[in-house]
Amino acid sequence: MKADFFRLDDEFREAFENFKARPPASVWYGIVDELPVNTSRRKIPQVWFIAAGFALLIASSISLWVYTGSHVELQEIATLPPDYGHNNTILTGNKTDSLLLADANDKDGTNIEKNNPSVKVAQRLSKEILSSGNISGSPAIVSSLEGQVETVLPSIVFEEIPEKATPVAKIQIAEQSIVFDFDQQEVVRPRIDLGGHFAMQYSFRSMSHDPSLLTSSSLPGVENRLMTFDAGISLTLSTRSRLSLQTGINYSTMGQFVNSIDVLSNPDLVSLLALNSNKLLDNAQTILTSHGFIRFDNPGMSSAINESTGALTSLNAAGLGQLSQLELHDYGFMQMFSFIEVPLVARFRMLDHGLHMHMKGGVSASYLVGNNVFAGQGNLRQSIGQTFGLRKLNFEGIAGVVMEVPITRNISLQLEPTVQFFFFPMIDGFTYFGRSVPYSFSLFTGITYGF
Amino acid sequence: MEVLKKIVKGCLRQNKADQHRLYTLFSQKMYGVCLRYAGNYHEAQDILQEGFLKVFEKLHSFKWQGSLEGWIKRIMIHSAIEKYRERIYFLSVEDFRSHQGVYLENQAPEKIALDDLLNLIQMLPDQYRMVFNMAIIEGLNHKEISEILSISESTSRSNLSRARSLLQEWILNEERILEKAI
Repeated sequence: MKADFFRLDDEFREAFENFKARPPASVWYGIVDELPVNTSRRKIPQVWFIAAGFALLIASSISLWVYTGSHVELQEIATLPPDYGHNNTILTGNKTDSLLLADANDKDGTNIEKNNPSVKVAQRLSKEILSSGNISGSPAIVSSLEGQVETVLPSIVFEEIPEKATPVAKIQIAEQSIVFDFDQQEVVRPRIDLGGHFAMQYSFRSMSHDPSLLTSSSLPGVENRLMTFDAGISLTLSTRSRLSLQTGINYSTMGQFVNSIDVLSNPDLVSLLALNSNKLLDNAQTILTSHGFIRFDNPGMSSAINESTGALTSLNAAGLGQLSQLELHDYGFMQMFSFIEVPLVARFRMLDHGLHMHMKGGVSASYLVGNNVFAGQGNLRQSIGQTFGLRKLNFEGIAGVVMEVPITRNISLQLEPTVQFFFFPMIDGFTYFGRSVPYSFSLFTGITYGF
Repeated sequence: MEVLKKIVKGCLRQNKADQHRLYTLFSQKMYGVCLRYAGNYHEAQDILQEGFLKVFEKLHSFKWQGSLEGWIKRIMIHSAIEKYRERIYFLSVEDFRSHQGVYLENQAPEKIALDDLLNLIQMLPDQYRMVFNMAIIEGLNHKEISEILSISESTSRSNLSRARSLLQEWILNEERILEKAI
């Protein structure tokens, strides 16, 4: 009996002394989830990004409002002849509803608006003052800011016109007679344009390979660009100045096409390209790409792909009959992600001769709303699973050119070559392939209506 | 050794790639240890996960006075013991004595397959399995086992004896079934 026990002990000892087994990938993912985050690259809570986005939006809106609300574009209506002893210009403004007497060297009115005391601002002759009749018919007395009487305006005569609320001012300067009708002065307000746009976009990712990682740098040969789209509505707030601000909401898709698919039973240890045979593919569950790891909805499918290592024809064996219509070169997987984007874009008008041309730049908060993996492409594609380990909220930088062609006074056509690049990788956490960040090139076409 | 030290340094800086390297180096062997101490695969994976988290947490205390593998293995065994202790509040050892039928797959008459041996170990009641692993595979004496598991030495001896009996009984049963079949 004792001898039997010893034999048993030896058998177990011999069997388990160097016993090894490969743990499933989920163990490592579980460890990564629980590991403390590196303090030097501490993850900033997403709520702060959202708060910062809103703060930026509010600050920009307020700035634009203040800017457009205070800025006065002045228009020169007459220059006083030297006889009057002053180098002054009569100006009118778009917001002041006034006649301004300004230094001729300050025709843009900048110093008037700032009430710069060093500039001789003669007088603001407001509509109320002018229409009060106090100066009607007589030479207007104009004083400097210091209150000294400096000159006398040429006579400003107001004529009552029954259908007009405000009298028309007639300014007689030497031989020149100028009529100034307050009611016809258009007060320029910020213009709001509502638009819709659509773009086909070339979407891919840039990858900075980390040579210290286990996986090879050969992914570029496996993952390919994908044509996706972006569509949405926009709201543009513009002023008579060159600056305008655009926001809106977009639905955007991006992704990549992955060919030469291999299915990994344990992606921890094997690179995507390393498996081109059926070895090590027992219990296969996961495909690893630079955008995350794909899991199949249908567990049976993994074995079908397992046997084929990417050859679509053998997917038929798993009962996916309709895929047999695909050409062999179409085999592979399409990783597709969709986002709701809220952009905030500043535009600066560079050219204004019939065609308006703007430079644009901004940021967008992009929230992941869709995540699918398809076998094949085009109409024959079939949803087979999802990508896991993705970041929900990301941010994009936006840069491009806007070419705007006015069709009518209110309607414009727009063409916008645009580049968008994500600030953060799709994968939220550890990646086996280095840092992979999506980007897209697109040509937006759109139409806007101005109110 | 230099490479290993570099990896450990990286782990101490919480470098994910180095943490993954360390995991890759030892996970298979440690999973083997966990499978021996756990009642099933799922539990072994839990122990492995918790064990590696402890390894990363306590790595700064490793002073290179022994092998890193041995140190990690001890952490794994302690994780397994903790798991076992969590359970003994709810289940007594005797509850597991009802294991009767054992099915051994792929059994060769002269040698039992590794999977089947593992299956047998996992079917042992928790405390028997702990004692069996420590005594037979790790080579600890009953005094050491009694201290680790907070049991008396005689209990440790008795547990080992019962574990051996159960294992032998299960193996003999299967051999009889096979002989009849032949």
